[in-house]
Amino acid sequence: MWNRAATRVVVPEPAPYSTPAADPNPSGAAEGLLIRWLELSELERRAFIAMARELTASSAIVERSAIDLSQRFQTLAESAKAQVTRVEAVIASAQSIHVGNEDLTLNEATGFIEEVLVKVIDTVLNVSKNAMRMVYSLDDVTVEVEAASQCVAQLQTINQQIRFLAINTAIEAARADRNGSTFNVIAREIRALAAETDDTVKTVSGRIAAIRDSVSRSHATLREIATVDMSSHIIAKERLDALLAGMVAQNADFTTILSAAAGASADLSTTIAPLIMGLQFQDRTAQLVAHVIEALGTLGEAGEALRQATHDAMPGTFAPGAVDQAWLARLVEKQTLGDVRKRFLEHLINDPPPDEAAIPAETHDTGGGDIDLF
Amino acid sequence: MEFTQDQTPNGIVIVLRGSFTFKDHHGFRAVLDALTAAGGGRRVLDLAQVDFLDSAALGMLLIAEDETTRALGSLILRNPSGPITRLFELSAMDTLFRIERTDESRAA
Repeated sequence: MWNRAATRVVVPEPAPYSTPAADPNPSGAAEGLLIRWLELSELERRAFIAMARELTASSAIVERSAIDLSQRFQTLAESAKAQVTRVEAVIASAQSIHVGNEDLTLNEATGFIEEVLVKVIDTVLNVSKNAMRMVYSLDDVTVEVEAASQCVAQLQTINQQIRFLAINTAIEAARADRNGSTFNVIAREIRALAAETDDTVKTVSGRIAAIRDSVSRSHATLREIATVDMSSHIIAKERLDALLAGMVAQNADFTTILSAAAGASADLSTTIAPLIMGLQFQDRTAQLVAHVIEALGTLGEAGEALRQATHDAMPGTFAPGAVDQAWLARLVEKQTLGDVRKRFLEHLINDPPPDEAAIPAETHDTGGGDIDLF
Repeated sequence: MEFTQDQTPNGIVIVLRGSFTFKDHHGFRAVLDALTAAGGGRRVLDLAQVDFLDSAALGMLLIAEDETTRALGSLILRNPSGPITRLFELSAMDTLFRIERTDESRAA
Protein backbone atom coordinates (compact mmCIF):
# COMPACT_ATOMS: atom_id res chain seq x y z
CA MET A 1 0.00 0.00 0.00
CA TRP A 2 1.32 3.42 -0.88
CA ASN A 3 1.85 5.40 2.29
CA ARG A 4 4.34 8.03 1.41
CA ALA A 5 1.93 10.94 1.03
CA ALA A 6 3.95 13.05 3.42
CA THR A 7 7.24 12.28 1.72
CA ARG A 8 8.87 15.46 0.59
CA VAL A 9 10.48 15.02 -2.77
CA VAL A 10 13.34 17.32 -3.57
CA VAL A 11 13.28 18.15 -7.24
CA PRO A 12 16.78 18.28 -8.68
CA GLU A 13 17.55 19.91 -11.96
CA PRO A 14 18.03 17.28 -14.73
CA ALA A 15 21.59 16.94 -15.95
CA PRO A 16 22.25 18.66 -19.26
CA TYR A 17 22.19 16.37 -22.33
CA SER A 18 24.79 18.25 -24.34
CA THR A 19 28.10 16.45 -24.50
CA PRO A 20 31.18 18.47 -25.29
CA ALA A 21 32.62 17.60 -28.70
CA ALA A 22 36.14 17.58 -27.20
CA ASP A 23 35.39 14.66 -24.89
CA PRO A 24 38.53 12.54 -24.80
CA ASN A 25 36.49 9.38 -24.49
CA PRO A 26 33.58 9.57 -27.02
CA SER A 27 32.43 5.97 -26.52
CA GLY A 28 32.18 6.57 -22.76
CA ALA A 29 30.09 9.67 -23.31
CA ALA A 30 27.79 7.82 -25.75
CA GLU A 31 27.37 5.01 -23.26
CA GLY A 32 26.43 7.54 -20.56
CA LEU A 33 23.87 9.14 -22.88
CA LEU A 34 22.49 5.71 -23.82
CA ILE A 35 22.01 4.86 -20.14
CA ARG A 36 20.14 8.09 -19.64
CA TRP A 37 18.01 7.40 -22.74
CA LEU A 38 17.19 4.00 -21.35
CA GLU A 39 16.29 5.43 -17.94
CA LEU A 40 14.11 8.05 -19.65
CA SER A 41 12.50 5.34 -21.75
CA GLU A 42 11.70 3.34 -18.60
CA LEU A 43 10.27 6.46 -17.00
CA GLU A 44 8.14 7.08 -20.10
CA ARG A 45 6.92 3.49 -20.12
CA ARG A 46 5.84 3.71 -16.51
CA ALA A 47 4.33 7.15 -17.13
CA PHE A 48 2.38 5.79 -20.13
CA ILE A 49 0.92 3.05 -17.94
CA ALA A 50 0.08 5.53 -15.20
CA MET A 51 -1.49 7.94 -17.69
CA ALA A 52 -3.49 5.13 -19.33
CA ARG A 53 -4.87 4.13 -15.94
CA GLU A 54 -5.68 7.72 -15.03
CA LEU A 55 -7.44 8.16 -18.36
CA THR A 56 -9.38 4.93 -17.81
CA ALA A 57 -10.39 6.06 -14.37
CA SER A 58 -11.29 9.53 -15.63
CA SER A 59 -13.35 8.04 -18.42
CA ALA A 60 -15.20 5.91 -15.88
CA ILE A 61 -15.86 9.01 -13.74
CA VAL A 62 -17.17 10.90 -16.74
CA GLU A 63 -19.35 7.93 -17.69
CA ARG A 64 -20.79 7.59 -14.20
CA SER A 65 -21.38 11.34 -13.97
CA ALA A 66 -22.96 11.44 -17.40
CA ILE A 67 -25.30 8.57 -16.55
CA ASP A 68 -26.16 10.15 -13.22
CA LEU A 69 -26.79 13.54 -14.83
CA SER A 70 -28.85 11.93 -17.55
CA GLN A 71 -31.00 10.14 -14.98
CA ARG A 72 -31.42 13.30 -12.96
CA PHE A 73 -32.40 15.28 -16.04
CA GLN A 74 -34.78 12.52 -17.00
CA THR A 75 -36.38 12.73 -13.55
CA LEU A 76 -36.51 16.51 -13.86
CA ALA A 77 -38.19 16.26 -17.28
CA GLU A 78 -40.75 13.80 -15.95
CA SER A 79 -41.41 16.09 -12.96
CA ALA A 80 -41.88 19.04 -15.31
CA LYS A 81 -44.36 17.04 -17.41
CA ALA A 82 -46.21 15.96 -14.27
CA GLN A 83 -46.24 19.58 -13.14
CA VAL A 84 -47.79 20.62 -16.46
CA THR A 85 -50.50 18.00 -15.99
CA ARG A 86 -51.18 19.12 -12.43
CA VAL A 87 -51.31 22.81 -13.36
CA GLU A 88 -53.65 22.04 -16.26
CA ALA A 89 -55.87 20.14 -13.84
CA VAL A 90 -55.85 23.13 -11.47
CA ILE A 91 -56.75 25.45 -14.36
CA ALA A 92 -59.63 23.18 -15.38
CA SER A 93 -60.77 22.96 -11.75
CA ALA A 94 -60.56 26.73 -11.25
CA GLN A 95 -62.77 27.35 -14.26
CA SER A 96 -65.75 25.33 -13.02
CA ILE A 97 -67.71 24.66 -9.85
CA HIS A 98 -69.17 21.23 -9.21
CA VAL A 99 -72.81 21.61 -8.12
CA GLY A 100 -74.88 18.49 -7.66
CA ASN A 101 -74.39 16.46 -10.81
CA GLU A 102 -73.22 19.24 -13.06
CA ASP A 103 -70.22 21.49 -13.54
CA LEU A 104 -70.89 25.19 -13.83
CA THR A 105 -68.43 27.75 -15.10
CA LEU A 106 -67.81 30.69 -12.81
CA ASN A 107 -69.73 32.93 -15.21
CA GLU A 108 -72.67 30.53 -15.14
CA ALA A 109 -72.53 30.41 -11.34
CA THR A 110 -72.48 34.20 -11.01
CA GLY A 111 -75.30 34.44 -13.56
CA PHE A 112 -77.28 31.94 -11.49
CA ILE A 113 -76.78 33.98 -8.31
CA GLU A 114 -77.83 37.12 -10.17
CA GLU A 115 -80.92 35.34 -11.48
CA VAL A 116 -81.88 34.16 -7.99
CA LEU A 117 -81.47 37.67 -6.59
CA VAL A 118 -83.66 39.15 -9.33
CA LYS A 119 -86.30 36.50 -8.65
CA VAL A 120 -86.24 37.27 -4.93
CA ILE A 121 -86.68 40.96 -5.61
CA ASP A 122 -89.41 40.22 -8.15
CA THR A 123 -91.21 38.19 -5.50
CA VAL A 124 -90.87 41.05 -2.99
CA LEU A 125 -92.38 43.44 -5.52
CA ASN A 126 -95.23 41.09 -6.38
CA VAL A 127 -95.99 40.70 -2.69
CA SER A 128 -95.91 44.47 -2.29
CA LYS A 129 -98.16 44.97 -5.29
CA ASN A 130 -100.77 42.46 -4.09
CA ALA A 131 -100.54 43.78 -0.54
CA MET A 132 -101.25 47.29 -1.83
CA ARG A 133 -104.20 45.98 -3.81
CA MET A 134 -105.54 44.47 -0.58
CA VAL A 135 -104.88 47.77 1.21
CA TYR A 136 -106.99 49.56 -1.38
CA SER A 137 -109.69 46.88 -1.01
CA LEU A 138 -109.62 47.31 2.75
CA ASP A 139 -109.87 51.06 2.26
CA ASP A 140 -113.05 50.37 0.26
CA VAL A 141 -114.30 48.09 3.03
CA THR A 142 -113.55 50.83 5.54
CA VAL A 143 -115.63 53.28 3.52
CA GLU A 144 -118.52 50.78 3.44
CA VAL A 145 -118.18 50.11 7.17
CA GLU A 146 -118.31 53.83 7.84
CA ALA A 147 -121.47 54.03 5.70
CA ALA A 148 -122.98 51.15 7.67
CA SER A 149 -122.02 52.92 10.88
CA GLN A 150 -123.85 56.03 9.65
CA CYS A 151 -126.92 53.86 8.97
CA VAL A 152 -126.79 52.49 12.49
CA ALA A 153 -126.58 56.02 13.84
CA GLN A 154 -129.70 56.87 11.84
CA LEU A 155 -131.42 53.79 13.26
CA GLN A 156 -130.54 54.96 16.76
CA THR A 157 -132.07 58.38 15.97
CA ILE A 158 -135.22 56.72 14.62
CA ASN A 159 -135.40 54.45 17.64
CA GLN A 160 -135.11 57.49 19.90
CA GLN A 161 -138.07 59.03 18.10
CA ILE A 162 -140.01 55.78 18.52
CA ARG A 163 -139.35 55.87 22.24
CA PHE A 164 -140.67 59.47 22.31
CA LEU A 165 -143.70 58.20 20.41
CA ALA A 166 -144.29 55.50 23.07
CA ILE A 167 -144.04 58.07 25.83
CA ASN A 168 -146.51 60.40 24.05
CA THR A 169 -148.88 57.49 23.51
CA ALA A 170 -148.73 56.61 27.20
CA ILE A 171 -149.48 60.25 28.10
CA GLU A 172 -152.46 60.30 25.75
CA ALA A 173 -153.70 56.99 27.26
CA ALA A 174 -153.59 58.49 30.78
CA ARG A 175 -155.40 61.56 29.61
CA ALA A 176 -158.21 59.45 28.04
CA ASP A 177 -158.55 57.53 31.36
CA ARG A 178 -160.75 54.41 30.88
CA ASN A 179 -161.05 54.94 27.17
CA GLY A 180 -157.28 55.04 26.90
CA SER A 181 -156.51 51.41 27.81
CA THR A 182 -156.01 50.53 24.16
CA PHE A 183 -153.42 53.32 23.82
CA ASN A 184 -151.70 51.89 26.86
CA VAL A 185 -151.32 48.56 25.14
CA ILE A 186 -149.96 50.26 22.02
CA ALA A 187 -147.57 52.35 24.12
CA ARG A 188 -146.20 49.22 25.84
CA GLU A 189 -145.78 47.43 22.55
CA ILE A 190 -143.99 50.42 21.00
CA ARG A 191 -141.68 50.68 24.05
CA ALA A 192 -140.90 46.96 23.83
CA LEU A 193 -140.24 47.32 20.11
CA ALA A 194 -137.94 50.28 20.73
CA ALA A 195 -136.04 48.33 23.39
CA GLU A 196 -135.64 45.38 21.05
CA THR A 197 -134.52 47.65 18.22
CA ASP A 198 -132.07 49.32 20.57
CA ASP A 199 -130.58 45.95 21.47
CA THR A 200 -130.25 45.07 17.81
CA VAL A 201 -128.64 48.42 16.98
CA LYS A 202 -126.15 47.93 19.81
CA THR A 203 -125.30 44.48 18.52
CA VAL A 204 -124.83 45.78 14.99
CA SER A 205 -122.72 48.67 16.31
CA GLY A 206 -120.55 46.20 18.21
CA ARG A 207 -120.07 44.11 15.10
CA ILE A 208 -119.27 47.13 12.96
CA ALA A 209 -116.71 48.19 15.57
CA ALA A 210 -115.22 44.69 15.45
CA ILE A 211 -115.04 44.87 11.64
CA ARG A 212 -113.42 48.31 11.81
CA ASP A 213 -110.93 46.99 14.33
CA SER A 214 -110.19 43.96 12.18
CA VAL A 215 -109.78 46.08 9.06
CA SER A 216 -107.43 48.36 10.95
CA ARG A 217 -105.29 45.43 12.11
CA SER A 218 -105.26 43.95 8.59
CA HIS A 219 -104.22 47.34 7.25
CA ALA A 220 -101.30 47.46 9.68
CA THR A 221 -100.29 43.92 8.77
CA LEU A 222 -100.42 44.69 5.06
CA ARG A 223 -98.34 47.76 5.66
CA GLU A 224 -95.65 45.59 7.20
CA ILE A 225 -95.89 43.13 4.31
CA ALA A 226 -95.84 45.76 1.59
CA THR A 227 -93.19 48.05 3.00
CA VAL A 228 -89.54 47.14 2.55
CA ASP A 229 -86.80 49.71 2.36
CA MET A 230 -85.05 48.64 -0.82
CA SER A 231 -81.96 50.80 -0.16
CA SER A 232 -80.20 47.95 1.61
CA HIS A 233 -81.04 45.70 -1.34
CA ILE A 234 -79.45 48.17 -3.73
CA ILE A 235 -76.29 48.30 -1.64
CA ALA A 236 -76.28 44.50 -1.29
CA LYS A 237 -76.81 44.08 -5.02
CA GLU A 238 -74.00 46.49 -5.86
CA ARG A 239 -71.65 44.73 -3.44
CA LEU A 240 -72.66 41.36 -4.81
CA ASP A 241 -72.08 42.57 -8.37
CA ALA A 242 -68.64 43.87 -7.36
CA LEU A 243 -67.90 40.63 -5.49
CA LEU A 244 -68.87 38.44 -8.44
CA ALA A 245 -66.93 40.64 -10.86
CA GLY A 246 -63.93 40.43 -8.52
CA MET A 247 -64.22 36.64 -8.36
CA VAL A 248 -64.37 36.37 -12.14
CA ALA A 249 -61.40 38.73 -12.54
CA GLN A 250 -59.41 36.90 -9.87
CA ASN A 251 -60.17 33.61 -11.53
CA ALA A 252 -58.96 35.03 -14.83
CA ASP A 253 -55.75 36.19 -13.14
CA PHE A 254 -55.24 32.75 -11.57
CA THR A 255 -55.80 31.11 -14.93
CA THR A 256 -53.28 33.43 -16.57
CA ILE A 257 -50.67 32.81 -13.89
CA LEU A 258 -51.26 29.05 -13.90
CA SER A 259 -51.10 29.00 -17.69
CA ALA A 260 -47.76 30.80 -17.47
CA ALA A 261 -46.59 28.24 -14.88
CA ALA A 262 -47.72 25.39 -17.12
CA GLY A 263 -45.90 27.02 -20.04
CA ALA A 264 -42.74 27.41 -17.96
CA SER A 265 -42.89 23.73 -16.95
CA ALA A 266 -43.43 22.73 -20.57
CA ASP A 267 -40.48 24.91 -21.61
CA LEU A 268 -38.38 23.28 -18.89
CA SER A 269 -39.29 19.85 -20.19
CA THR A 270 -38.50 20.93 -23.74
CA THR A 271 -35.14 22.37 -22.64
CA ILE A 272 -34.16 19.27 -20.71
CA ALA A 273 -34.71 16.88 -23.64
CA PRO A 274 -31.77 18.19 -25.72
CA LEU A 275 -29.65 18.29 -22.55
CA ILE A 276 -30.19 14.57 -22.14
CA MET A 277 -29.33 14.09 -25.79
CA GLY A 278 -26.25 16.26 -25.33
CA LEU A 279 -24.98 14.01 -22.56
CA GLN A 280 -24.53 11.27 -25.16
CA PHE A 281 -21.21 12.99 -25.95
CA GLN A 282 -19.83 10.77 -23.20
CA ASP A 283 -19.81 7.76 -25.58
CA ARG A 284 -17.73 9.67 -28.10
CA THR A 285 -15.37 10.88 -25.38
CA ALA A 286 -14.92 7.33 -24.09
CA GLN A 287 -13.99 6.18 -27.60
CA LEU A 288 -11.42 8.98 -27.96
CA VAL A 289 -9.93 8.20 -24.56
CA ALA A 290 -9.76 4.51 -25.46
CA HIS A 291 -7.76 5.40 -28.57
CA VAL A 292 -5.36 7.49 -26.52
CA ILE A 293 -4.99 4.68 -23.96
CA GLU A 294 -4.32 2.23 -26.78
CA ALA A 295 -1.63 4.54 -28.23
CA LEU A 296 0.00 4.97 -24.81
CA GLY A 297 0.05 1.19 -24.35
CA THR A 298 1.64 0.68 -27.75
CA LEU A 299 4.29 3.32 -27.02
CA GLY A 300 5.00 1.68 -23.64
CA GLU A 301 5.35 -1.73 -25.23
CA ALA A 302 7.68 -0.30 -27.91
CA GLY A 303 9.88 1.36 -25.30
CA GLU A 304 9.98 -1.82 -23.20
CA ALA A 305 10.93 -3.94 -26.28
CA LEU A 306 13.68 -1.51 -27.28
CA ARG A 307 14.99 -1.32 -23.69
CA GLN A 308 15.02 -5.12 -23.43
CA ALA A 309 16.82 -5.41 -26.79
CA THR A 310 19.43 -2.90 -25.68
CA HIS A 311 19.91 -4.77 -22.41
CA ASP A 312 20.37 -8.03 -24.31
CA ALA A 313 22.90 -6.40 -26.67
CA MET A 314 24.81 -4.67 -23.90
CA PRO A 315 24.36 -6.80 -20.78
CA GLY A 316 25.59 -5.23 -17.52
CA THR A 317 25.63 -1.73 -18.94
CA PHE A 318 22.68 -0.43 -16.87
CA ALA A 319 20.33 -1.54 -14.11
CA PRO A 320 17.05 -2.90 -15.62
CA GLY A 321 14.62 -0.97 -13.41
CA ALA A 322 16.52 2.30 -13.16
CA VAL A 323 14.69 5.53 -14.00
CA ASP A 324 15.90 9.07 -14.28
CA GLN A 325 15.05 10.43 -10.80
CA ALA A 326 15.35 14.07 -11.80
CA TRP A 327 12.84 13.76 -14.64
CA LEU A 328 10.63 11.63 -12.39
CA ALA A 329 10.52 14.44 -9.86
CA ARG A 330 9.78 17.04 -12.53
CA LEU A 331 7.05 14.82 -13.96
CA VAL A 332 5.07 14.76 -10.71
CA GLU A 333 5.85 18.25 -9.46
CA LYS A 334 3.16 19.90 -11.61
CA GLN A 335 0.46 17.48 -10.51
CA THR A 336 -1.46 19.27 -7.79
CA LEU A 337 -4.17 16.64 -7.17
CA GLY A 338 -2.83 14.67 -4.21
CA ASP A 339 -4.40 11.33 -5.14
CA VAL A 340 -3.20 11.53 -8.72
CA ARG A 341 0.29 12.46 -7.60
CA LYS A 342 0.38 9.53 -5.17
CA ARG A 343 -0.64 7.08 -7.86
CA PHE A 344 1.86 8.54 -10.32
CA LEU A 345 4.66 8.20 -7.80
CA GLU A 346 3.55 4.63 -7.04
CA HIS A 347 3.71 3.76 -10.73
CA LEU A 348 6.87 5.62 -11.57
CA ILE A 349 8.87 4.38 -8.58
CA ASN A 350 7.53 0.91 -7.84
CA ASP A 351 6.13 -0.12 -11.26
CA PRO A 352 3.43 -2.30 -9.63
CA PRO A 353 1.66 -5.09 -11.52
CA PRO A 354 -1.71 -4.07 -13.05
CA ASP A 355 -3.92 -5.75 -10.41
CA GLU A 356 -2.13 -3.96 -7.54
CA ALA A 357 -2.33 -0.61 -9.26
CA ALA A 358 -6.09 -0.50 -9.69
CA ILE A 359 -7.56 2.87 -8.84
CA PRO A 360 -10.17 2.62 -6.06
CA ALA A 361 -13.52 3.93 -7.30
CA GLU A 362 -14.12 5.97 -4.16
CA THR A 363 -11.02 8.04 -4.80
CA HIS A 364 -12.53 9.47 -7.98
CA ASP A 365 -14.77 12.08 -6.52
CA THR A 366 -15.93 14.85 -8.78
CA GLY A 367 -15.50 17.56 -6.23
CA GLY A 368 -12.19 18.77 -7.59
CA GLY A 369 -9.96 16.49 -5.50
CA ASP A 370 -7.69 17.45 -2.68
CA ILE A 371 -4.97 19.71 -3.91
CA ASP A 372 -1.65 20.00 -2.17
CA LEU A 373 1.84 20.91 -3.14
CA PHE A 374 5.23 19.38 -2.61
CA MET B 1 -95.41 63.00 -1.08
CA GLU B 2 -97.08 65.77 -3.04
CA PHE B 3 -98.32 65.65 -6.57
CA THR B 4 -99.68 68.02 -9.18
CA GLN B 5 -101.57 67.15 -12.32
CA ASP B 6 -101.37 68.91 -15.66
CA GLN B 7 -103.28 68.20 -18.83
CA THR B 8 -101.02 68.80 -21.84
CA PRO B 9 -101.69 68.34 -25.56
CA ASN B 10 -99.69 65.13 -25.30
CA GLY B 11 -101.71 63.74 -22.38
CA ILE B 12 -101.81 63.88 -18.61
CA VAL B 13 -98.58 64.68 -16.76
CA ILE B 14 -98.54 64.05 -13.02
CA VAL B 15 -95.52 65.36 -11.15
CA LEU B 16 -94.62 63.59 -7.89
CA ARG B 17 -92.39 65.19 -5.25
CA GLY B 18 -90.58 63.97 -2.13
CA SER B 19 -90.50 60.50 -0.63
CA PHE B 20 -93.06 58.05 -1.93
CA THR B 21 -93.90 55.38 0.66
CA PHE B 22 -96.75 53.29 2.04
CA LYS B 23 -98.27 56.23 3.93
CA ASP B 24 -98.91 57.95 0.60
CA HIS B 25 -101.31 55.27 -0.58
CA HIS B 26 -104.39 57.42 0.11
CA GLY B 27 -102.98 60.28 -1.92
CA PHE B 28 -101.84 57.96 -4.68
CA ARG B 29 -105.41 56.72 -5.05
CA ALA B 30 -106.23 60.12 -6.49
CA VAL B 31 -103.34 59.65 -8.91
CA LEU B 32 -104.73 56.25 -9.91
CA ASP B 33 -108.16 57.79 -10.45
CA ALA B 34 -106.62 60.50 -12.62
CA LEU B 35 -104.68 57.93 -14.65
CA THR B 36 -107.74 55.76 -15.30
CA ALA B 37 -110.33 58.51 -15.72
CA ALA B 38 -108.66 59.98 -18.78
CA GLY B 39 -109.47 57.04 -21.05
CA GLY B 40 -106.93 55.86 -23.59
CA GLY B 41 -103.76 57.77 -24.36
CA ARG B 42 -100.47 58.71 -22.90
CA ARG B 43 -99.96 59.27 -19.16
CA VAL B 44 -96.74 60.51 -17.69
CA LEU B 45 -95.56 60.18 -14.09
CA ASP B 46 -92.72 62.65 -13.66
CA LEU B 47 -90.36 61.25 -11.00
CA ALA B 48 -87.55 63.82 -11.32
CA GLN B 49 -88.29 65.21 -7.84
CA VAL B 50 -88.87 61.88 -6.11
CA ASP B 51 -85.91 61.06 -3.89
CA PHE B 52 -87.04 57.82 -2.23
CA LEU B 53 -89.26 54.84 -3.01
CA ASP B 54 -89.98 51.88 -0.77
CA SER B 55 -91.32 48.55 -1.98
CA ALA B 56 -94.93 49.62 -1.26
CA ALA B 57 -94.42 52.56 -3.62
CA LEU B 58 -93.01 50.21 -6.25
CA GLY B 59 -96.10 48.04 -5.73
CA MET B 60 -98.30 51.11 -6.25
CA LEU B 61 -96.44 51.96 -9.45
CA LEU B 62 -97.05 48.40 -10.65
CA ILE B 63 -100.76 48.83 -9.85
CA ALA B 64 -100.71 52.11 -11.76
CA GLU B 65 -99.20 50.28 -14.75
CA ASP B 66 -101.92 47.57 -14.52
CA GLU B 67 -104.76 50.04 -14.14
CA THR B 68 -103.54 52.29 -16.97
CA THR B 69 -103.19 49.31 -19.30
CA ARG B 70 -106.68 48.17 -18.29
CA ALA B 71 -107.94 51.63 -19.22
CA LEU B 72 -106.22 51.23 -22.63
CA GLY B 73 -103.67 53.89 -21.83
CA SER B 74 -99.88 53.81 -21.68
CA LEU B 75 -97.89 54.82 -18.61
CA ILE B 76 -94.51 56.51 -18.90
CA LEU B 77 -92.13 57.17 -16.02
CA ARG B 78 -90.16 60.31 -16.73
CA ASN B 79 -86.70 61.34 -15.52
CA PRO B 80 -86.21 59.13 -12.46
CA SER B 81 -83.22 60.29 -10.40
CA GLY B 82 -80.03 58.26 -10.00
CA PRO B 83 -81.02 56.26 -6.88
CA ILE B 84 -84.51 55.61 -8.29
CA THR B 85 -82.99 54.48 -11.59
CA ARG B 86 -80.70 52.04 -9.73
CA LEU B 87 -83.73 50.76 -7.82
CA PHE B 88 -85.55 50.16 -11.11
CA GLU B 89 -82.50 48.34 -12.48
CA LEU B 90 -82.18 46.23 -9.32
CA SER B 91 -85.84 45.22 -9.46
CA ALA B 92 -85.79 44.79 -13.26
CA MET B 93 -88.63 47.34 -13.37
CA ASP B 94 -86.71 49.16 -16.05
CA THR B 95 -87.82 46.32 -18.32
CA LEU B 96 -91.48 46.55 -17.22
CA PHE B 97 -91.98 50.30 -17.52
CA ARG B 98 -91.44 52.70 -20.35
CA ILE B 99 -88.87 55.10 -18.90
CA GLU B 100 -88.42 58.42 -20.64
CA ARG B 101 -85.60 60.90 -20.26
CA THR B 102 -86.02 64.45 -21.47
CA ASP B 103 -83.22 66.71 -22.64
CA GLU B 104 -83.30 68.68 -19.36
CA SER B 105 -82.71 65.49 -17.42
CA ARG B 106 -79.77 64.48 -19.61
CA ALA B 107 -78.28 67.94 -19.25
CA ALA B 108 -78.62 67.69 -15.48
